[in-house]
Amino acid sequence: MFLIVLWLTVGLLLSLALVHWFTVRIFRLWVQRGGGVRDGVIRVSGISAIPRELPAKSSSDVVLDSIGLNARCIHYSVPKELSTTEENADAIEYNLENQRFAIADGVSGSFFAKEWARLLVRSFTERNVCPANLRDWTRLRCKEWREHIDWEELEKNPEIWWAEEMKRNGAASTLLGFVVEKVPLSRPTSYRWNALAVGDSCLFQVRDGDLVHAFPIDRFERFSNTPWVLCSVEELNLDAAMTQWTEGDCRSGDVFLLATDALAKWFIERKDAGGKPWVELLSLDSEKDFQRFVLDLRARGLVRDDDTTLGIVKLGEATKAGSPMGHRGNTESRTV
Amino acid sequence: MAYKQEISRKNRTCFLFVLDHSGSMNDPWSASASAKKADGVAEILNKTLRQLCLRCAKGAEPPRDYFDMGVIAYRDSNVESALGGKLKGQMLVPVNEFMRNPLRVVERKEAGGQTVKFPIWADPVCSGKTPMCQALKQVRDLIETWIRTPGHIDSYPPTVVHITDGEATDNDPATGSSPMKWAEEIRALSTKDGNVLLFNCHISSAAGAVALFPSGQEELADEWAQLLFSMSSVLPDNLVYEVRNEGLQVGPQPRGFGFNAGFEQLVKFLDIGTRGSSIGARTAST
Repeated sequence: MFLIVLWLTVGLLLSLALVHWFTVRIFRLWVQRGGGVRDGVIRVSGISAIPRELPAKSSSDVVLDSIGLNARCIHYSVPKELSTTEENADAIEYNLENQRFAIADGVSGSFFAKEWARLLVRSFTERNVCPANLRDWTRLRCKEWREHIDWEELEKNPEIWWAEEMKRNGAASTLLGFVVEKVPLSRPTSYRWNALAVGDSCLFQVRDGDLVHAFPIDRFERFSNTPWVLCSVEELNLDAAMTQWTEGDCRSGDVFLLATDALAKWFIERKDAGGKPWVELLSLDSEKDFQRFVLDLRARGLVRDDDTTLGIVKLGEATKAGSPMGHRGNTESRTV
Repeated sequence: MAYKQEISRKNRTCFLFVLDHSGSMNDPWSASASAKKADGVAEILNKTLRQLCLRCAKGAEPPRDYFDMGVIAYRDSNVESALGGKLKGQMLVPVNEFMRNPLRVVERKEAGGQTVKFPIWADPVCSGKTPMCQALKQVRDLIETWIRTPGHIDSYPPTVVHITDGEATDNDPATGSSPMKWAEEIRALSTKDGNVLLFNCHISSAAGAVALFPSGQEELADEWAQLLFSMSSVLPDNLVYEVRNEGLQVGPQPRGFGFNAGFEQLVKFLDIGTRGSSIGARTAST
């Protein structure tokens, strides 16, 4: 009898311990997913606070067959004047496990633009996107956007007569994403990056203090008042010709800067005038610094008053073979 | 360079619609249309207000107050707000409040079979004479007060859209009061981004070639059309761009004037006239 009671008690205690461990784990993942940091993966708050899928494991548990490069990533963002951080329609995300990085700029004249921008960067960093699957990838993103918004709730609100318009006309955003890969069988090991761009969010590659690549825009006059955008309503997207692709080589020491258009325009204009805007940007070492920098540019009329985001990805040698591409301690990040 | 200011919460602008609600607006628009001129104008006005409002909606969050809006009407000896319901009596209203408080919302079937909600802000109630001078004088005062309100001096200038079918009945040569005088005073008002824009749309039952954004008045046979043309602002470059983007051919220095504009032309005219500079950010390319 005593043994039965003992057995039941031990079993009960073990069960409680297991439940506790499981609950805490889920809770932590839920909090991180809602807007915190998970080793190298910045979760920008999505349309739902609670994720639809839980990740199988966190990146800190994954020992990668490292490509031999490490990455230090940081980003800063300043919303336009009178806008709150929550209203900021720029989005940026980097996934160091997949070596994928993306930035997007939601068009403020569209509906649920920030949700769309965040969905695009998150999806880009999670999945392979190439010319062959771009159309399908976009179609699925449109479906995801549509399903994540509670249209029924909106339509029930008597003050909101425009719910149908929002659903029909949807959201629009630029997108700039790039991937770093090891060149297979290369001796010595070499690396390449490839990128896609829709619109005027830009990527700048800096090597040894010089700008080696500006994509998709490399001259100021190429900026347009009506850039291409990805729409969250599939029928409004034109064909793949509006997407630009490029690639290049990269190596340890290279720095990639990602910028939405307000900052990108300033950058290109400076560069065209013979300046080195990357030096100015890389000298900023805190969010406060960046804020001051942007507010000063705005006050001098050198950038438009718009959501302004900068991402910096610095490539370096891996600290040891097999270590993840960046881990806690090498990666600083904040959620937009 | 003028008319470059971005329309935003920091620098909101103002759109004011001025409607002729005199008795003649109850006449049919043309021999082929059974609708009254006033009904046609109200329909297109409400559609245009709806399009303007949609530009301020973002998602689940409240619409952004990018501009103040107003609709005033004149008839007999009255000049008053044409808005009803919760907005009754208000001359200029922030767009967020404007959007949320139409007089009523009706459901309509669109061409594609979809049902859409269509808000109505103003109903046509027409009678009596045409106190145009009194109305334009009041518009001048209203716009001047708006410009002087703190925070507005750097804004994209206010846009006034005046829709009328005929001549003023309250000219006063003794005091020099005339529609032209008040129009000139309205257009003389300015923010740092440029002069107030006054557009006139002449709805005429008489026969005559349709004119939209003409450069000269030679083609306008009606003397009142010629007067309204002269009262209208020259379109700023950004709006000329929009007009040409719409596929409309315009000459040099086109004016914000429409003569004998039918329903479709009036929609284009008002839509373009209210695009202004960039609202919020840039528009999506489709």
